[in-house]
Amino acid sequence: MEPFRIFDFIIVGAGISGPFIADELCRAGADCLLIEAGKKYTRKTYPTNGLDGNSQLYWSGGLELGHDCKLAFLRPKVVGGGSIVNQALVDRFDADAWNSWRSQSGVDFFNVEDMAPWYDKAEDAIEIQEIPAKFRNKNAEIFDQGFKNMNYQNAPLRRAQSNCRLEEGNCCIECLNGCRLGSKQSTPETVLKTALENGLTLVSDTEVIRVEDNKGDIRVLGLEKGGGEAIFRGRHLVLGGGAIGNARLLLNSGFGKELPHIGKGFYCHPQFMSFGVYDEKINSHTGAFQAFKSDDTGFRKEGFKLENVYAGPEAIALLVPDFGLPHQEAMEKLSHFACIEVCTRDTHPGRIKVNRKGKALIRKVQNEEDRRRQDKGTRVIENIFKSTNAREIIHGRFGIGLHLMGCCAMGTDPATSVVSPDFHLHGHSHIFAADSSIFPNAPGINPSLTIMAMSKRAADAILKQTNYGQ
Amino acid sequence: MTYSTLPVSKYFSQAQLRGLIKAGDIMLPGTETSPAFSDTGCIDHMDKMAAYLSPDDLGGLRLLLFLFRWTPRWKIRLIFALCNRSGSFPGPLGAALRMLEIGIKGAVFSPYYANLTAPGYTGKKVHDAIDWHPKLVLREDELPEKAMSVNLEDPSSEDITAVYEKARAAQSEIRDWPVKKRVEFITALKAVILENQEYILDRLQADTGKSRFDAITAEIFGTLDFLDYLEKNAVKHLGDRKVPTPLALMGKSSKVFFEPLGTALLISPWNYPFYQAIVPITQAFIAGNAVVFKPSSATPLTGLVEELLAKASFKPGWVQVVYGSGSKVGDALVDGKPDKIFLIGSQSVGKHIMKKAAEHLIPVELELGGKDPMVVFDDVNIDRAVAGAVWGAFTTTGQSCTSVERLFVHENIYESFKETLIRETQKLVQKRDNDGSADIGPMCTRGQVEAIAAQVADAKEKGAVFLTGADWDGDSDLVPPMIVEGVTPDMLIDQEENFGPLLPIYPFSSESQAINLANDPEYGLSASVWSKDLKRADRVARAIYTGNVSINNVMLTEGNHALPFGGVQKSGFGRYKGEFGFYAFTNIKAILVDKDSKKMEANWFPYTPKKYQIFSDLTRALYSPKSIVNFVKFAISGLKLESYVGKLAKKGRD
Repeated sequence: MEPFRIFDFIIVGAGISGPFIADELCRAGADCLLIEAGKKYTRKTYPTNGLDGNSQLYWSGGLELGHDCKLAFLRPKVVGGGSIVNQALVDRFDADAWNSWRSQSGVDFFNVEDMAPWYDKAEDAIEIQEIPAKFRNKNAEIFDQGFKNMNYQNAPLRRAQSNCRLEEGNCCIECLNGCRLGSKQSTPETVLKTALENGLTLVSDTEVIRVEDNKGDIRVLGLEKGGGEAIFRGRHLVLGGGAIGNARLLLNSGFGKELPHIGKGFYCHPQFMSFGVYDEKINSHTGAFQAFKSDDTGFRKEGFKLENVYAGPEAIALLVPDFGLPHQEAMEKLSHFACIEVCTRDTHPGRIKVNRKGKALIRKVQNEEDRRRQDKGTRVIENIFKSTNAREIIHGRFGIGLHLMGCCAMGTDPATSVVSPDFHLHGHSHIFAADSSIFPNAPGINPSLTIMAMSKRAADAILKQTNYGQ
Repeated sequence: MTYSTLPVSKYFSQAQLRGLIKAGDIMLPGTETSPAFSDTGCIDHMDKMAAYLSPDDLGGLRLLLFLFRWTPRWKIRLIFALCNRSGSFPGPLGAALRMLEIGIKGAVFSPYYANLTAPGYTGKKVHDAIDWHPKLVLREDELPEKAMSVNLEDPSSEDITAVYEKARAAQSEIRDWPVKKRVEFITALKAVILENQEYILDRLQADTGKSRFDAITAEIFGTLDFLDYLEKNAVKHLGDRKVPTPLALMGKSSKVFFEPLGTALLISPWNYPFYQAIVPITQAFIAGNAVVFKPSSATPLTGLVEELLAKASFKPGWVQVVYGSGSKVGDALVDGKPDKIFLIGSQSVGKHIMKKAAEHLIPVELELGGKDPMVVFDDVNIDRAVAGAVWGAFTTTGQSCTSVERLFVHENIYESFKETLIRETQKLVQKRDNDGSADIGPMCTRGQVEAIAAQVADAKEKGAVFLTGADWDGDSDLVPPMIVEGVTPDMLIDQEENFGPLLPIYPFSSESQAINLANDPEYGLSASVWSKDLKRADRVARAIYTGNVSINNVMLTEGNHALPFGGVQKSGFGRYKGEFGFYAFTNIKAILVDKDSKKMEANWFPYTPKKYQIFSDLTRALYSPKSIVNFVKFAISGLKLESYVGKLAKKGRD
């Protein structure tokens, strides 16, 4: 970085929100810097085995544990963030999600109509496809059959992908470490690409550890991979580090006193995988394994949804109970496993704190209601597996949080929220955020499309407030 | 090739790795279809994971593995059983069990289920056992950027560029490691060599033809002894060193860092292809350099060095072996701009490489040939001296750069010495062996047979007398040991280095004459002096212009790896092995540490006449002969200078 360079915007975190906002700001002619703690991979350099994938693409070498170790958290650390490692499910929020947000936050535009044009814009930025029926794998068929048997509603899944060339026998499981086909509509394949074409400066492998707001003179302190510090200066700051990242950064930068809600209201859609073991081979890892989602109003009311996900053997082995021979014999039947997970819409907020070393501490428990939702969903999964003649059902050892949301909730009241409806931190007109950290509660729906839509909306608001590109 | 040693890890000690294997095999004992955890060698890949763990998590895992190392198996099983029931334990205990479960499962399952194996692993594959074969059809231009596919057997200049790129990238990984960590790899290599001794000897005999006994003593024992020396001494000699800071620089401290140079190009000859590979490679590596190694195309031991290094956990870029004849790849290797070139070889190759290196100003170190004298005075035990001469001249069929090539014997014992020498030489067993029963093997290369044949023919024509081996047909590669008398300066055998079992013998009558004869006008690699009178031996050892002298023994300075090795004149320059060898591949960096403060230095601007006067007083007081008066004077002018400099800093020039 050239000494004394002052950017119009410094954006921290190159997951989904950061690149979406950067794209708009750069298009408007602003001079932007995007800083990311993770590495920039290309289609040719993504890790090709589970060990490398887990350790290189996530914080803490794969999993972070909550304080009671009942939930493990997956927090991507890579240019492209969640859009590199997720299953690319893109769904709009329904009225229920928006209403719940609106009533909690007092933010008027949290409604289906006001957000619709921003969803349109987000969907325009990426390609979205449904998995054609002929490419559904056996895991998906069992899911579909079970739903039919039990009279539940499901729907084909919408995924952010352009061309998986499924007719060649490609297996989607391979793109959980980054899509080497360039099909998955990750931000590096989409908005980040155009932002870079429009002059964005990207600094990867640099973890932002502190920010300072001197009203129009933003100082950002980064920790480089080699252990050295780097200073960056800008006029405005956009936080895109996600729930844990943003909370940690703001708390370590001393914003906690002024905005006591930082770190509070942490949600993660706890997900619990269960495996049905069948006599015949299911080969859940082949083809397009996730083709359906539950679309049952009953499930929605009960606060959960089901997905026919799958994961690599390293991850499944962690969930399969027991050690020694029983474990190994179970794993040898892996190709006979079908998998469904329950994803709960958690009601009980967790909290992110930092310790003296500045490390994020995750405190997140399921209260009785959240456990009830999990149990309800798990019973449904058992019914599905039983109705499709599973010989055995294995429940995963622990839950996983991978939709990391909240901690900097948007709201009208600075006492109970962190970010204003104008997308800036209360009392800091130069610091903005629009990623999953601003979610007031758990929507119960996959968040990535909404992060994109909110980021589009935020970019518009930011440009208006800061008079760029007029 | 066998392999039972543990890998060396940057992040885990050997005890921790043992703990991991123990826990891993309890968790994954192996079935008919699945391999056991330890069988796959997947722990070779632990560092890939550890590199990304947070310091806290890594610390926790290391502690856990260390504890497992010393915990009986039944207790570990019990702990795992408790983990399975973590739900029934309240609060912190349940949390601790869950953390332990996820931690150890992550550490064991990640490398195992990622299907990773040790180099050369041919057993059951984990992904076959669980039938995990996801497909991804990639187009030509979508293939991952794997390790560059470089042709090392017959490399083009692009291949060599790629080799250096890889070396430089790899070097950045090892350069900052503490020496102690690199020593662990030396320890592992030692174990691997020991374990594969017979295999290495087979390979060595196949490539060189040398007798198995020569091979085990010089190449295996010698190499292991050198590695042992590195193990015990590297930390001492390459660790940061404090050096004294003089009184005039009070308040500061001084130290020396021994840093790697970068990438070292090592070129080795054909006569000791294993020893001359491992010794320079490890000497350069231990200092933190990446290595590009070119063996002789006559005895390449193709793949052996890489195989052994891989077993000892060396990562591919740390040491790369490039094959090919020097005339084909030598220039390109130098043009790759290594940071140091180390060559063991002939004068002509040395000259060429040095000239080429001069274009890039690359430092070179050359270990070239010799024409080593053996000087025997008349007070020696003849039997012992003769046995030394026979071994020194004919070991490895005379194909050593330090073998005895000129034997000078005092006239008082010349005849009886000669007689014994002939008798003992005739007792030597020469054949191709595989059981250690031969004293001498065949010559290593056809070219060498021809070179010896030319020297022999020339000597015979000019009247030299062959006391043994006169019946050699000049063609068989079983070149017999030849003792030659009557050698004159016009003979090739007297002028050229001879790399074969040729031993010219000359009489002398005085110490000064012996020294004159021993001092070769061109070479100076090593020598031996034999005399009961150690004062005389010491005198003669000092008078011979050479790099190494053995007294009452032969070729033995090389037997002690604490001694340096190297030559003078056309035998080359530079020293490797021993304490001084550590510096051959080292950037010896000077560090002076001062504190941040307001203080200004006396020798900085501004200069004033007054400061000049005080400084001049101080100089006189400090360097005059030591006395209390002078010390007091020095102290006074020191204080004066400091207060005046302080005043100048505050108020500026008077």
